[in-house]
Amino acid sequence: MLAIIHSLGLSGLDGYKMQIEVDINQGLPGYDIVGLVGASIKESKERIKSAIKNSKFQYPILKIIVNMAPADTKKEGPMYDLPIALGILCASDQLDVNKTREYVMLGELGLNGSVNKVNGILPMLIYAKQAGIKKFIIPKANAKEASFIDGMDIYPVSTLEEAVMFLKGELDIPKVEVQSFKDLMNNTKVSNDFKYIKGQAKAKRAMEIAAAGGHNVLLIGPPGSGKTMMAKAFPSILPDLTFEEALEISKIHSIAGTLDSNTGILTKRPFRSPHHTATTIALTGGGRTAKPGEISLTHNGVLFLDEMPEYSRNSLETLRQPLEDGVITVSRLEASIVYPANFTLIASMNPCPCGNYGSTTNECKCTPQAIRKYLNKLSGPLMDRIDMHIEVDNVKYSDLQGEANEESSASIKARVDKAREIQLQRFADSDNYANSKMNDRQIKKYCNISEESHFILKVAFEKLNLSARAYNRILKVARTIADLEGSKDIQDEHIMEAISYRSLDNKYWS
Amino acid sequence: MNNILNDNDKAVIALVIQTNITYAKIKEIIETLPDVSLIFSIDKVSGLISKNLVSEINKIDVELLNNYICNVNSMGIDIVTYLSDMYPDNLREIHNPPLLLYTKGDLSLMSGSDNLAVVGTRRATSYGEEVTNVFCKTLAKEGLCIVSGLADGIDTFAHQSAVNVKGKTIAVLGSGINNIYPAVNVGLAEKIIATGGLVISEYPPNEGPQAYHFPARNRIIAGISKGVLIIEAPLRSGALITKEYALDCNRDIFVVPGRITDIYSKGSNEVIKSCQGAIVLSPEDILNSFGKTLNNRGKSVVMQFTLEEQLIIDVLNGKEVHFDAIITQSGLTSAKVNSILMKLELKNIVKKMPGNMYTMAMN
Repeated sequence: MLAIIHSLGLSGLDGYKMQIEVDINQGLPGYDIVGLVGASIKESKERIKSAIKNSKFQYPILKIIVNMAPADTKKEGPMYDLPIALGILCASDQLDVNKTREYVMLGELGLNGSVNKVNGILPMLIYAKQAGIKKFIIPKANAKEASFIDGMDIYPVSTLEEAVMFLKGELDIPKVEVQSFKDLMNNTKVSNDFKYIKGQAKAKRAMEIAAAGGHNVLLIGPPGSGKTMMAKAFPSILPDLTFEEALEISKIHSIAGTLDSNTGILTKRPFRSPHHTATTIALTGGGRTAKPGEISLTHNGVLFLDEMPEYSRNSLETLRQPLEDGVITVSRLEASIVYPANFTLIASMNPCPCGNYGSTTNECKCTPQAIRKYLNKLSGPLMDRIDMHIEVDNVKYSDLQGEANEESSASIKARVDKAREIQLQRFADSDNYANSKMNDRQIKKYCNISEESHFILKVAFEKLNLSARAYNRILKVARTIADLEGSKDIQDEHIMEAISYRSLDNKYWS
Repeated sequence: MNNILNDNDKAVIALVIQTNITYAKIKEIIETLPDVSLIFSIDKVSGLISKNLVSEINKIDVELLNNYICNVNSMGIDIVTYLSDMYPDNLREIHNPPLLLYTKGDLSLMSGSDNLAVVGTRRATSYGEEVTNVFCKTLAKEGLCIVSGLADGIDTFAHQSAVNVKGKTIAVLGSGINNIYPAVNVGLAEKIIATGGLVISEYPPNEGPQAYHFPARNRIIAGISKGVLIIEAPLRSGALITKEYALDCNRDIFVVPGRITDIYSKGSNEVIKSCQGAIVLSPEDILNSFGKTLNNRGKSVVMQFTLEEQLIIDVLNGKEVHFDAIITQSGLTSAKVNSILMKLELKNIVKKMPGNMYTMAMN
């Protein structure tokens, strides 16, 4: 007898409808599965057999054939254990196939018949909602991430037996209750706060601008000057995630399996700091099935590269295109997927390999060639994509002990939120949401500066030996500074301040 | 080509390039023979010099020699020999004057009477950079020719600021002219020649840089200069080697004092302590000892500052102040302070030091 069960598949971030057909025939007992399935699906045979047996159902000692349609798409993952098992039960008359018809099922099985958590539920549900699918059976452990999608009946199950009893109508399982994203947001806490960072007024101000406009930042300073601390506190002043942004980024994390099952959705902008030994593929994404990399996992968040020149040149150069376009296309044998990668880059570095270059009190042990080589690891085109270069200096002991009242992250964030609000309104009719992502046309439209400002810029270019590419970056940063002040036009002083964040170009990369 | 070689010049070139005769022996031959070109006809000199030298001189091949000279000249490089009229008299005064000089650019600069050597560390601090720029700019404008070694740090700043004001400058290399070291300064060398300066080396054009070349070329720097200005030298430094050569051939030594705590000023301060050099506090001090007075005095402009700008200038007055301290002392926001400092920096009133320190710029 033939049974057809509905399920969903994922190709990149997009879902597609899938049918699992199970047929049981007379013949030598056996189990065949077809439809371009991966190893984890092939292995499901043993899990399913034990799970059915241990749930007190009969595993048919007959010839079983499973087909996963469409047959020309590669399928991977253990999420089809549950639908296949239910298909076998239907095909062997232990369950009425008509009762399963309106449900879409996903779940991994344990040998004892338990239904375990699977990856990628969120993007599948989002697709299902668009496709008009209404009823779902999913593992209980995935209930949280499903709870942010409204307008669907989602039933969480924890065992195969529960699923069967529910389908038969013998058991009543409550639907997953829709959660409000806002409530979750209120519960998020920040661990690193700017009020614990003493001094460093200049760097803090720069971080505020970077957070407001989504600008990329390079922190240069000797070891122990607080670059990492500064970067780690940065998420605490970033504007709150909107629900759309949160869904976008949670989708990627759902596929990668890094979504926290307690919350089920990302409530904070991701902050990731891959170690400098990370491979190019780890950063960009890849592998046989074109998995998302670090830069996609930090979509809408912050990618922190500590000791930037220590990363391989290759890895750094691959960041150029995503920094410009906000997406990365990962092409592999089995898939070619466009992942979003709209992140803010925070990078830190020493001024030279030993860290004392430019210091008057500590002797720099590096030869001029070594320093040049170190700095040259960051290519010109990459540096041009970093809007702000900030020098972080050593903190004096007296400052560490000082009782000076430092501004808290919350009050900085209030200003950042205001500035971001202005930007959201400005770019309401485009897909842009921050000044740093303005295209040439938008720069022309929104970054008008006075005759005098042009003159200042001209002088600065000559004096600081700036590249032509720095020009647009300065305008974008100046726009953000003006937004922070609530100024409609870009004033001279905004331009001045923006230039000051490029003044290291001349010192290090001349 | 500026320099035409006569037979005597060619003879010196042949002795240096084509034989294995030592420097001292060549010098002896030059001084004992009535006419060095005699070596081209070997029978005439056989009685005048020792036998084993004759066998070396036999190696000389006139055709190859002419080819070599032709080849070097075709690169735009002149060869000046010890016997040439173009050879600077000053350079003859030093110990071990080079027998050959390969030059590119304006030859006459070498013999100039207003040559000032500017030497210092390769790892200049921002103080060293600023002092070098201010001194060399002013002095080059006043017609002094800045002599230095085209190395990193002070040397580069010295040449650069002279070139920037279209002044004359001489770079003395520790490698062949076609092998400029460090390679980043290839562009600077071209600029030096383009602005009417000169590049000199005692090594053949294609010779690579060797560690021992650099102390050796310092004697030429001292030799062709009337005075040596030391800006920032650590205790062990090429600048101090140049100073020794300068003392040997009786040149004026000027020293810019540094802070006693600065590593890169220890050597230069030591020169002051041992009374080997005169302290200079402004470019005018050097001009005066060259018998000149400052002509192109910068136009003194009365600067108008806004209240906030004045506030910051008052805070900075005479000291180095950290960015955070400027904020607390002026009471302005960090955004304001940032933009005002940048404005003053562009106007050359304030200078940014490493570690977010600010100070008033030298004028």
